Amino acid sequence: MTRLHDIEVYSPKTLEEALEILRREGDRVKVIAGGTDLIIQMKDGIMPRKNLLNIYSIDELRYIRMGNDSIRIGALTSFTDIASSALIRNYARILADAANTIGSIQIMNKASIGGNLVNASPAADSIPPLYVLDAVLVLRSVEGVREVPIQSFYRGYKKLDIRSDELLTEVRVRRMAEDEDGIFLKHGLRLGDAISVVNAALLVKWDGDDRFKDVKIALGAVAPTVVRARSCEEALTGKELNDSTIWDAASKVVNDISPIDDVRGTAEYRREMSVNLLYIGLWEIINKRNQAGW
Amino acid sequence: MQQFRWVGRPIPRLDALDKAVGKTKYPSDYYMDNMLWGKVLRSKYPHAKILSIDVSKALKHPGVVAVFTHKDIPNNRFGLFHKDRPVLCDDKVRYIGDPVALVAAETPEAAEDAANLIDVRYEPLPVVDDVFKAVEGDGAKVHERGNVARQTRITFGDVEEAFDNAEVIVENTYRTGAQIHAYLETEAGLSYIDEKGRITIVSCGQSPYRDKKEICETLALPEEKVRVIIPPVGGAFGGKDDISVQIFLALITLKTGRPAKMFLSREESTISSTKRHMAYITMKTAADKNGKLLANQTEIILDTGAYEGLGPAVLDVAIENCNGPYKIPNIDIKAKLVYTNNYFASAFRGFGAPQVMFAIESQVDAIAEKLGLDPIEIRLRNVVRRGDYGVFRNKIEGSVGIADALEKARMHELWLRRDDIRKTRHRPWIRQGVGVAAAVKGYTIGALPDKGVVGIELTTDGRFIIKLSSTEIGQGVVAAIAQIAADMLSCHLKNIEIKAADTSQTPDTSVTSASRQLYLAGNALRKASEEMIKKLITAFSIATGEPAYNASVSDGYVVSTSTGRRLSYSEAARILEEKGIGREAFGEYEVPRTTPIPGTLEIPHLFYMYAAAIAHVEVNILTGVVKVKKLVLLPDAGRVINPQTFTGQVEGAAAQGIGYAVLEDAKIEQGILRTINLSTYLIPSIKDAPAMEVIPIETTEDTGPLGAKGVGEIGIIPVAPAVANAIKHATGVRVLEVPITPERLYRRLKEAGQNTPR
Repeated sequence: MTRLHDIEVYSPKTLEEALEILRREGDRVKVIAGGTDLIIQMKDGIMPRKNLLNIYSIDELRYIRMGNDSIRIGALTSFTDIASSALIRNYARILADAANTIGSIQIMNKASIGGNLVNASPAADSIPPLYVLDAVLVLRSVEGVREVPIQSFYRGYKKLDIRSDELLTEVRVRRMAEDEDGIFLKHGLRLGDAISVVNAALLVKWDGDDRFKDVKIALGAVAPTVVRARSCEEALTGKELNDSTIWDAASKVVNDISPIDDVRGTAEYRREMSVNLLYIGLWEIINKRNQAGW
Repeated sequence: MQQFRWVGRPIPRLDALDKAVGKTKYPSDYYMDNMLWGKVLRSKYPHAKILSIDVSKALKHPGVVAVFTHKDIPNNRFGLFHKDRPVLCDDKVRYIGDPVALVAAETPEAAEDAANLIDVRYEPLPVVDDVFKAVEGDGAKVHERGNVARQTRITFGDVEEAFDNAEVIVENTYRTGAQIHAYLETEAGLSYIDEKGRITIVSCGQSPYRDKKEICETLALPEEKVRVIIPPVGGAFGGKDDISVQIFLALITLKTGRPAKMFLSREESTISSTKRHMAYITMKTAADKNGKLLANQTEIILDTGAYEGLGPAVLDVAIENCNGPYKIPNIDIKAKLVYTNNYFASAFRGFGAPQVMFAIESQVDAIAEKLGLDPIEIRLRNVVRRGDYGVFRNKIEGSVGIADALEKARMHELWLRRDDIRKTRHRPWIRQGVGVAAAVKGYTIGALPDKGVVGIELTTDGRFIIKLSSTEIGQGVVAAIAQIAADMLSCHLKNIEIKAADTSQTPDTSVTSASRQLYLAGNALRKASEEMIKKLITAFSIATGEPAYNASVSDGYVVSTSTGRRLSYSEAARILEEKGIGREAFGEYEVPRTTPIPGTLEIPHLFYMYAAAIAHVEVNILTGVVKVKKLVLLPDAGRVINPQTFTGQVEGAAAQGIGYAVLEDAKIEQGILRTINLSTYLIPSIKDAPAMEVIPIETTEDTGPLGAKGVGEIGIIPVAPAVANAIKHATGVRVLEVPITPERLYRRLKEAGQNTPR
């Protein structure tokens, strides 16, 4: 049984100190932010016993700022802050919507976006929106800075492109343009505080002809990492959009995913939910445009 | 209805503030100096022979004081109906929560580490994971006596003849799941030796005297050496009716002389605690062309798991209520209670009724549909009314509010808008529907003997201390008793103090279960109050020389009706003390009962509670997710003592009913529980609890205290069938299994071709 008094906990107040500790300790420490995943894993003995680098007090990593053509989010920013940020609601609404469904109010207050990314659960609700918003992750070490596109950050189930001396300090997302729309979808087994059985983010760019100039779709909880639904994206881009074409396109998602059976649902159910969720999302996006009188 | 000064008013509960600010001490809040921690090693297998238990390594672990096994238990079998449950397993383990050894150590970590060092050698046995396989009898046996713990058959009339003459017959097989209590506070307690040398257990529980008896019997201790205290408990719902940590705590303190504490983790609690019985119910129901129910043939199989617990009584309640609140002239019930290695099932709010009500209320709905009758109308044509004879030819003499509840439901705006709601589609994949269900359950423990005692002490400053062993498990009984006492003793509520559930200080008020503690304790209190008032008047006569018949009590005084002279309660107390008459009074109440019908243990009851419920649901046919948008509950409440507590209790029960209906899926595979924590075993979140409207149907129960009757369980019982009937209304698909989880409903919709958005 892991006891807290057997563990060394470093609690730096600045990023500089934190990076110095990481350089010195490397693999011997585990970074803890909000702890909403890590503490449970430690209790369950999933985590090997390590000392902790507690970055929760580094307030300089809590911010949401407008960049040149991106929004910059400090890694320690809580989901409550993301969900209620006017900047994110205006320019990256799907991320705000996802943040709102992460969990209970308590979890949303404590959990950070950086923690969600590094914990790398395939069902993490913040990751699909970040995929379609072309997020770039900023990794810092005493050696310097690396900027990694989110898709190359995940190399497999809980396998990340991050060195033991690096700390994830910022997430940058693209601002949604006027001619873009999107939606975040979550299928959980209860209405509140549920872990996703399937989640998805859709981002579309309209052309002048009521067709999609560009489509990006990412799904969670249906593969070892979040995945892009390239087959659907292809089937939708530039095509006529009606009930039957969006069903056909949504059905192609089974080529892009590899779900498993677990306590929350069978692989078969997850496949069908992926299709149905995409259908619902596409219907909502198209219906909204039709209602707006286009 | 008579008006009272305190009863009937929405007064904040006496315990509300202390609970809100965190002052209340629950069983898990007790600590002592020099205290040991107890940790149980539980079974690795659902079913296995124990070949050997080697505790030597655990004993050498730093901080470990003692390790106990079955060899330390003088009488290692206990149980309320059948002594089939070991304190610590000896020959076999029968489910994954079965306790094998108990460690006492200086810290919880040392106790846990040491438990993992105990070397138990098992020989795994075939897992009996299915009641049907269990009954066939050619496979493994959970107990030597065989896998059928109890079976019986009850018939009245002739169902076959009725089926021949019926206009419509509906036959279905229903399945209901194993619900987990998921109380906020897991099982916990502290033991120590008190100033009189008694082994004292402060723990969770629902019956201090019965827990004490089981501790004394298993550990061969004399009654006077054991004391049980049950402080306010963080939820029970029947799950703390059976023994959990009590005997372990007593054992550690008995053997070491030191205080001991136990507090189960959520996972350990979820694995080891009792569950609601999984049920398999086949029902064939017939009606004539007017919707008059003619016959109901029922087969009930309850999976009691490793031990009987309260299973035999749960089976009786299932038998008693499987015909709903209806007069059905011909019935035939076959019922079995079956052992398996799935879990350990026992009491859970509703106690066998939610399972069978889901079946009969689905049946009645299906019959209404076949006959083209309104679902409420068909129910009204069949419901039992006061003075009627029930299915067991028993006269229903208690208050009966089900017809009133259904009449009110029929006029409710939600029911009136039913068809409009169904036609409204705000998305092509959303279907809406409104369903109704009725419910019944006996309160009191039926034909079993049941009595309770309540004491009243008049303090020298003229206040009253009410002494009783009712347990405050969240339901509000203690505050309700105080409210009744203030009216019965004619004083201000602030002059009532309650002392509850300490076997060394409070009399035996029987177990807190079966929705009847208010009824039982309230009636015992009435008798004690009459006794106390006699004493007060005696004091008045002594002081004034006026005859007793001239005097009555009024707001803290004994008053003469002829002269107007008065004596305060504190002066009366002084006189009673001086004259050696005593300031205490006791009242004993024995619950009226019938003789059980042949083939049963304890049914029928004399007293029943009833309810109707209307559910409005929204079904997503592309995901199978059911959203309960609104619930209207119309419980037959008798006299409501405190409207606030009443509504809270009914809403809480109904929320638990939503969990039972659509969420709470205890996944047990090959005897292994897969949903061991609250991230996989999903109870309703605030977003899953819909708007609720509770409309009390106030009938007066003449035998109840000030007209009150039981209400604790009734709120959960109609919810699952009302939701299922609403899903049928919305989608055209009848679900035969609860919980109606998204994946399950999605499959059913797909099979029925009802999952195309349009």
